[in-house]
Amino acid sequence: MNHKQRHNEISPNVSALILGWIWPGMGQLSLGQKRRGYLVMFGVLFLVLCGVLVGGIDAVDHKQDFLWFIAQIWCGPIVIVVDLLNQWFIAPLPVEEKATLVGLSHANEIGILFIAMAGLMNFVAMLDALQPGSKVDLERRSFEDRGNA
Amino acid sequence: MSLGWIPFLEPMNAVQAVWYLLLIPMAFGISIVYRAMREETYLTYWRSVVVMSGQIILGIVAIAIFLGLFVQLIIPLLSQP
Repeated sequence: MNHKQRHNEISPNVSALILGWIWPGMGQLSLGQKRRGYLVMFGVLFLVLCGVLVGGIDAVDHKQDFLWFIAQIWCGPIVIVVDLLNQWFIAPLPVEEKATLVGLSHANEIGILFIAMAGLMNFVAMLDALQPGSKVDLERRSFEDRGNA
Repeated sequence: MSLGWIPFLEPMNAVQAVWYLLLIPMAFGISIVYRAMREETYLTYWRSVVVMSGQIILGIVAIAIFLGLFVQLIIPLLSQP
């Protein structure tokens, strides 16, 4: 079976796309690709946590950094929660109190970039869940091992 | 100083001087997600993640060197009367 025929057999899976947005990796998990799903989840959450660790919760701000937020929003509700925390706890503070909580220079830039990259990679994972290139999960054995078994 | 730093609430200002090293975990995270979708077998997965991380880092270092040379050497030559 060639690649084109295999692709035609797989119909778009919109529920997997939506699940992939709600929680990174859940799209793949819903298709039965457990190992793939957990790895996507680990990778996206690793990037988000690194971003918030480096930039603080101010790294997600739909008012100040709206264009970045468009890329970050693909991580799903987790980013919306971070943005809400930022808007509730940091944005209303007076400038003197806000000074230590708002990232400046590289810490802010890299924090924002980490979460934006997480969003874009999750977008790719969502598209993969919509029309998976492969129906099977990551195999524990190589093709040669399966052939010899 | 990082004394009194509250993780996840306050930014990690201690990394300001070595911000470029954060490229390593970023490349690693991107590679984990991308290779999870591309690999067919788990046996070669982590090796592919390491290789792709290295390729991203080397690519960005090469671009940085090229841009550095361009700004330091080529632009001054072009701006000479």
